Amino acid sequence: MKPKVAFYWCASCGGCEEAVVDLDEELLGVADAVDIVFWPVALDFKEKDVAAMPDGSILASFINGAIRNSHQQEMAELLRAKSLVVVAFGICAQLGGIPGLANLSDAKGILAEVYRDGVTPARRYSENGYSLSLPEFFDTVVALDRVIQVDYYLPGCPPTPNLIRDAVHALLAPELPPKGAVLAPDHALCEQCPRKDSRPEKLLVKEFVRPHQVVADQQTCLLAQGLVCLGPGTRAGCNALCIRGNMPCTGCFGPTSRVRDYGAKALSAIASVIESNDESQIERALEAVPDPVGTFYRYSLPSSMLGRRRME
Amino acid sequence: MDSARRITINPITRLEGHGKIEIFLNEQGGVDRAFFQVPELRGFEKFAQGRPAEDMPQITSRICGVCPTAHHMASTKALDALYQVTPPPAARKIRELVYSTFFVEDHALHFYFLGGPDFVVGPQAPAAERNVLGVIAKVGAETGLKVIAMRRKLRELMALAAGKAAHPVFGLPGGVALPSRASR
Amino acid sequence: MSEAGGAVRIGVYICHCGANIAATVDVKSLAASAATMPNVVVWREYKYLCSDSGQDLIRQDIPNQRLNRIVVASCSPHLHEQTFRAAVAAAGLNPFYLQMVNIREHISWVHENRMEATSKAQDLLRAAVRRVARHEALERSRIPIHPDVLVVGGGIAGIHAALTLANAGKHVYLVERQPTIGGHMAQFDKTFPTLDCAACILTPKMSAVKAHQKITLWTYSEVVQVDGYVGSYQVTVKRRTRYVREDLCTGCLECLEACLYQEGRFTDEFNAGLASRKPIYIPFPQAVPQVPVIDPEACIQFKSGKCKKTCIDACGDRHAISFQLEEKTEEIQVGSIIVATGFQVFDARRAPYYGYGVYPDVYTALEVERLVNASGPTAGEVVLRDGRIPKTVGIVHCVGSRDENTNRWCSRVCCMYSLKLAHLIKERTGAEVFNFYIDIRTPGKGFEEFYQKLLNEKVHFIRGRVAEVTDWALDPTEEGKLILRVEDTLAGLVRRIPVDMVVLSVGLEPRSDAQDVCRMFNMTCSGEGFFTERHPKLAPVNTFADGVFLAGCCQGPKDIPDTVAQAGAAAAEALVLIDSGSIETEPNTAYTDEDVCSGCKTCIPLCPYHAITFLEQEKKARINQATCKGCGTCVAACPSGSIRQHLFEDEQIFEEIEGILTYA
Repeated sequence: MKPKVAFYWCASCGGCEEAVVDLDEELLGVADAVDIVFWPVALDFKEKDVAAMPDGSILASFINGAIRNSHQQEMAELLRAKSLVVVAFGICAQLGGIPGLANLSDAKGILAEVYRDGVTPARRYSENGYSLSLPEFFDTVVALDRVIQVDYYLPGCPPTPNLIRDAVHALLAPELPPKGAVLAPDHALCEQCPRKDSRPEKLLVKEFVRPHQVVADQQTCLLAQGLVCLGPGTRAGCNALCIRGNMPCTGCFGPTSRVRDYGAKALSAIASVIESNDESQIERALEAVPDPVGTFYRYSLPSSMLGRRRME
Repeated sequence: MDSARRITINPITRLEGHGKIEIFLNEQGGVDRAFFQVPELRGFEKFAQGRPAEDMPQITSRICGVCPTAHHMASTKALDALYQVTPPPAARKIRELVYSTFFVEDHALHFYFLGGPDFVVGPQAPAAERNVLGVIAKVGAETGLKVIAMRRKLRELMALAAGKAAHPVFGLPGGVALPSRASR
Repeated sequence: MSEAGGAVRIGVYICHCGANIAATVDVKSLAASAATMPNVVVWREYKYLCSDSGQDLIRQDIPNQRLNRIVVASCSPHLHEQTFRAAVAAAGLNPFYLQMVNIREHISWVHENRMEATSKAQDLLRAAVRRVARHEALERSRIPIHPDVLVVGGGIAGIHAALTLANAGKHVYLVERQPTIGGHMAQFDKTFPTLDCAACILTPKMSAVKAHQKITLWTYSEVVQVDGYVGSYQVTVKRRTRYVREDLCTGCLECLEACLYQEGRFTDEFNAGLASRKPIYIPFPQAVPQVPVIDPEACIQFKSGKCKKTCIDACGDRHAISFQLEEKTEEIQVGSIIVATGFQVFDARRAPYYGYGVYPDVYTALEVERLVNASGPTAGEVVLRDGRIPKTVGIVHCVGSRDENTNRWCSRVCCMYSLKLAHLIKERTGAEVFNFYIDIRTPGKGFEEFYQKLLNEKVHFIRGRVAEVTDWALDPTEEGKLILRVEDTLAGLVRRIPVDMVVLSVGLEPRSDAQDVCRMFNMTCSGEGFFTERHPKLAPVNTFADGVFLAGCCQGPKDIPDTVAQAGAAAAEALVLIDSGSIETEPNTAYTDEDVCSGCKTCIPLCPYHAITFLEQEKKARINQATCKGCGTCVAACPSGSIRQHLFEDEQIFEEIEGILTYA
């Protein structure tokens, strides 16, 4: 019997699903090697089908998306029980991702903004004797490993097909990677950057610029051009796609294994590049970074040491 | 409540997004009430506030990873309007190229992965076959591979101009980040 | 070294420091709380842990109780970390398995509430206990010391340091920016309080420098770059050209006579602008080396190319003069460096209310030093600009010292040199001399006696800060005079004192390029620019750059005896370094995990010690373990966390933080 595999999404966008589809021809090979028993975006299996499976009967569940509501938490717990291995698939599951930016607000603030004067969703609803329930919308978004034990992580927004293929092979191999491993290279993106050699040895920046304020040269290190490129602090694995697209790295692969708080480290690294000890000059240099939390914690706020904004 | 009177479809499948349908039947077996739930609020409306405008194309694309290009492009055009700039002809053509490519690619995805199985494999087929693999089985591996190869090329073309196919990075107010070039 | 493997077994030692700690911290209950902390198997408190019997406790417990980690809660590690590391090492355990908790400076000396102080001590102790469990054995490395020494600055400090080292058989490079050594001291006539002749005591030392086999003297030269680290500094020296070859010139000075200019026409810097010199000149008759300099800004040949070049004719067969000579750069290797770059005097124009530069007969003290000097522009006659001999002279103390608007510090030497000048002026002219002072500070040997002598000489002392110097006469007695307006704070009234000559006792300040010099040698300096010693009391000539020592006024204002004493001390420190042959380095260095370094180069420009190099082949950053001072800048900045630091590993710091934040 072929090993069983499940794909599921929590608070996510479906980009991780697309990334699996982007395996293209190889997807057929994967489908040959494993039985996909659950994958809402592509297959018609239901939650009750999963619930009916014996515990531990799935080899691996690839769960993407952050944990935003109670239903996602329940599904994560269900898949955890059914699976021998759980992979946090993509940066939302690993660190919280873009949906994690919601931790700058809370449930009340979001619901008030989204529904304004309309009907606000209620946990329970009954009509004509029929009762329905909605999941609880949490105040705080968390990464997958805050609600269940996670065995492996696959970073990226989304993970690239190459990494996905390697991860599947690693899980099918006789010897599994060490528990807790991030299934991607463990050096920073500069290592893969085509512009690496153009970074001067002593790079100091007087003023940063925002991407729409310059016509960026296509050969030169973007940081050397004053753009806040987070490549030096971001795990490699994407092969510098954004930089090849002439845009700075925004950090969607998260930190290396040696860094505990991606945003704090990235902030520290970028601040180190500023060529001044004068407070007002430093302020001016940082004018091009009007949104530090959105810049440095864009994909990792829920898993940062602070986790969220403290609401008054 | 008699469970025979309640039909739950959870989750709804083969589309981007979380959904659940609950149907309640009356005594005669007709539909009395039907409820469609989409419990997947993430709060972009709130957390996009306070972020720099030029970050919007990359942030809003995460609304949907199946059609990120649409959100990316909408934000980019909003930036054009915000900065009151008109992209030069070359940039406009690059944007149109990317968007048209996405249009074709997205249709292919929809037809073979999402909606297609209902028509090609048929609504009566077993659930386990009513999917892309069933479609390929039905139309034959040769056609399947041809479709997959075509979609791959479309995605590569998008990546060439937009940096990434999944969550593009090329939109800037008044233009694009990367000029067109003969080769990469 | 004994094995530290196996289970972690921690010994905790708490010091009373007499009553210093025990009066505020309940050491008994602190020891009892240690017993509840993870991995602690021995806990003791003792009256003086740093004593031999205190250290003995540790030395014996390590083998007897099979301890492999030690925590000492006592004073600052600055004071006794080495003591306890040595005790740990003596018992056969790697000394870096020690962690200290500072419960004196951080707790007992700054808190009063015994309960709160004890509770804080528990938190810090728990942090150390958690941390030390993560410590690893580290080894110190040794760096060999190159025996040659660079002395920067050829004033009395540099001269004395260079001679001391050379007399001890060490090779010294003495680099001086001016065409001659001698510094400010060479400009003085007499020195206080003994009134012995500055030239008589200085010039023999200058000649000795020139003659010494072990001293390479480079004047008219500047250090432009310093690389490397203690024991192995690579120094680049720029040597300007005098257009006169030092190796061929005999010092006959016939070229000076032969110059087309019959008289000096250009500002004579050595004489503080009170005299003029020719385009070819030596700064003063006893200059060392006795080799003239051609000033290309003044020389006709350089300006027009149409000089008869009579100087070259006068030089004749010696061929020492050449207009084609160019500046050159020398690269030298030294093991240690003595910085003796001196001071500059306060620019009196910054105190415009005293009229310097406006009224011709307002002088700075340095100008008057030249006036009273027998070999100065007036051959020792104190005369006004128009040649008259002053009948009344006012000396204004603290110009550019002890002043919120200019420099806040006391320049230390001005009181005494003002008294000296008052004495000399009175001696030479018989003038009535008024001293205007804030306080008279005469704390040196023989200083107070000198002050008494001047009081007996009927020199006037008026206590008060002079408000202004003006020529606006209010009555006929003031006509043609300079009037000092001052509040006499002893008499309690505002006075106007008319004088013929005003002397401004200008203070000492750091040279204008002190910050650049500071950076070049990796030293630190105070906000005003005086170089900082490593410890104001216990390491007064060391800097925070290992192997770089300080001498003289670049560290702070001081008089000649103090300068010479400090220069001797700096030389002695350098000798210690050289004669020990090598030094041990602290192992708290940063290091790159080259396997995972992405070569992003973020760290390269950040290192204040230039310890990081980028390996072009491997595309990795590498940290020189000898130069790294363990400041942690690169560790914090490394974006991918690929730089770590011994003794400051993330795991150790997080354990420490969690230890503090854990509620017991």
